[in-house]
Amino acid sequence: MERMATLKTIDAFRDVLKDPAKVAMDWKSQGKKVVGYRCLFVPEEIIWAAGMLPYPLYGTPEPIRLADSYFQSCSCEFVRNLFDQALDGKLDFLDYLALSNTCDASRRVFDHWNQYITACPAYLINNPQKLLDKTNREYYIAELTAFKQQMEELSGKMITDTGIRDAIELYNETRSLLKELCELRKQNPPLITSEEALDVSMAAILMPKDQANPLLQQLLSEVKEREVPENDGPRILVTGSTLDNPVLIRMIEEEGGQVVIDDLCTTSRYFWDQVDNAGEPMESLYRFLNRRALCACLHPMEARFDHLFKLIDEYDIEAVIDFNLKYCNPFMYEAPLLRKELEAQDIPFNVLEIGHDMSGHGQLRTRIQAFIEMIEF
Amino acid sequence: MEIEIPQVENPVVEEMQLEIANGFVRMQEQRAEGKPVVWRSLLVPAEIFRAMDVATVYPDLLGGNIGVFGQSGKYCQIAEENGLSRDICAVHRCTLGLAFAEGKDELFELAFAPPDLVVGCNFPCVSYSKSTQHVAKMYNAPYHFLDVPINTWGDQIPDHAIKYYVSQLKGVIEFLEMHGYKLDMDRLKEEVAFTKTLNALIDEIDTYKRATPSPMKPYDSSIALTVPLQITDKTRILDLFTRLRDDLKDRVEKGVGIVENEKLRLMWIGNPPIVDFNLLSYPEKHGVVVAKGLLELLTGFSLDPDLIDPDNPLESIARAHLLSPANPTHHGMLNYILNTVDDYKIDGIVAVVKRSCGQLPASLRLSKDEVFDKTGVPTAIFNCEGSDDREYDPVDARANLDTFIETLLVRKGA
Repeated sequence: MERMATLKTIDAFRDVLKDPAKVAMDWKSQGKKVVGYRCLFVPEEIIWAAGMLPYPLYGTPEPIRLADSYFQSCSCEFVRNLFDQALDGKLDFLDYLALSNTCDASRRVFDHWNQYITACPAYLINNPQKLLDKTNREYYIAELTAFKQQMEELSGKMITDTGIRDAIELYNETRSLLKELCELRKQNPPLITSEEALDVSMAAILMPKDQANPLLQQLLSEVKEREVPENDGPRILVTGSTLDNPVLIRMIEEEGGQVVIDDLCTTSRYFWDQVDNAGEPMESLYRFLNRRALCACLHPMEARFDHLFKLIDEYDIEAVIDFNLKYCNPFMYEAPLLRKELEAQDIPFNVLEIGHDMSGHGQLRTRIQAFIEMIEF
Repeated sequence: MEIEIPQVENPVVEEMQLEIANGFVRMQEQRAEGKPVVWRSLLVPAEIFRAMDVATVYPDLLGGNIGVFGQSGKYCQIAEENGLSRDICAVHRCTLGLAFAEGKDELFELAFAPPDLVVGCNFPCVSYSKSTQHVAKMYNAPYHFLDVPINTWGDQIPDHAIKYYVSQLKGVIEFLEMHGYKLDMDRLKEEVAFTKTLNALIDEIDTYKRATPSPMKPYDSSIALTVPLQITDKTRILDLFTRLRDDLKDRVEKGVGIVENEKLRLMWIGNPPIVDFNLLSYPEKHGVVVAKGLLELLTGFSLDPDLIDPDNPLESIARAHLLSPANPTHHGMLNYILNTVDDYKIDGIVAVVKRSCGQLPASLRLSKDEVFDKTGVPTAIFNCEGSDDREYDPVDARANLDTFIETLLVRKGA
């Protein structure tokens, strides 16, 4: 398969990912604070409105060394990886950690962090696990308000409604630009590869948005002018929990598949929706977060499946690959149910259990190869 | 090594065990009467279901029974053949395997009825909600999710959390009423009053269980606490528990223990070895007892009776559940362990890692360190996938216990 020439702007995003900590250190050199966070139910806008940088925690491909003394090896590999980084001092620049109530592992990392990473307090936003439900409104807003108060205490700054609205506008712009980039992948062949899209998305999520947005605009104008070689590989949707390493995506594309859309926490799940900035800001954030029932950790499951089928339709998908992170229970439970629904629509589906440290690549490549051959046959 | 099905020791618990079978008969009768069968996660508050006389199946207890009767490997395999990962909870794989199986063992026919409705919750872990969701899809049964907030607030639960959980409980009631059941509020108050009485009695029983020598075997303890889930006759339940209390009181007064010359007392944290429950009694050969475990937390009958107010049934049940040590935050569990170490005079803690559990193994090191720092009581952590007999090694498990006990005995100078 002929590869597209890379764009300088994409390289600029990739440079950010080569040293993610630099983003935080540059921010801190201005005398400002950095709040690490995981997952998508942490309202970044509140952190930004407090004058602090929301810093998404990504895993690294290094094997876990220290965290296995704290978490059993049968615990979520992603969470163990994050904790490993913390124990190893790689996240010492964080002033605070904000987590959300998603799964058993995220709750455990909250407990561990507060006990063993004492220089950086952790906070767990007690978001409801049942979304798309009006009965949770008062509760969820109360929890978001408590988080806001915590951010005010940490920053020493009052978070105003105007501040949140401005943050929402800025973050909406990022989401809108990333989505626009994503929509260029509807074309056949897409104007941007999935590996490029993943790198750009991860970098943009990491960067201060006032820096990311102009770069994204520049990238959009370049990509629209791009000439791309023909590619008649099957159009594939990749789903799963989190994927912070392009190796697997690249593997699919090297074996002839075209990953034209990815339903991941590091990509479209982040930017798919906009915050409606019209009303009272905490209400706006509540309504936005209450719609994010696109993760297997939260209910209802049907919302995630409905969304996947919309993507399948919009992106003209021929097959779906589910990268199931080892010991990620919510996604493991849903995989056979998703298979059943996809098979009912004659859409080929393959579940690939992956280790976060990318071990067993050779076997994965063989399976991907076989799957793509099967689709093409 | 051949694994034997455990036998109860206490004659009152033996009666309780028979009542559990009667509970299955009752469920089948309700089903024959045309009542929708509801599968519900254990920790969805029982009071609502009792008040509405719901024909109930507990998927988690089904999975447990499959393990106790030596069929876990078979049903786990069926679940895996139907696409479920071997890494998800083995207890729930057992249940799902049974639900998938076309021919079920006669042993489980009485306990099993396909669901007409399913109520899952996220308490105490993801598997409780996800596995019930699976079953609902499998049988095309309407599914309702009860969202239980986790307790990040400690002892002071804020009003908005209570209010939210109450709204969630009302959602369960509405769901059941939509499908043919009816709630009488007076009846709910009666059931909540019963829970208060029963929990107070269970607390009293606990005071005797703390005695040295320990008067009750761990398997008996586990069986006893599933009884209120399985039978609906409140008079009978109170009679059984009152007699159990009296029996234990008598044993304590006479100094009768489950072992002669008791040398050490252990607490068992992590999942009990369902496929080999006799493991919990294995230490008795050393004069050592497992005085307390965690299993009782999963039945919903370790609520603080002082929190329960029949005149405010939903609010008080909400508060009691949010403050229960089964609520999946570490501080609640840690306090439970620390209190047990103190109350039960625990010499050592056995913390087992069930490979397919996404919840408890991730907190064992945390508990180990804090308990040791605060009490000096050591914890031994070892692998013990006790819910899937294909992965369970009884020889290894016993060897680990032997080693830990020998260390503790030396430590104690016994």
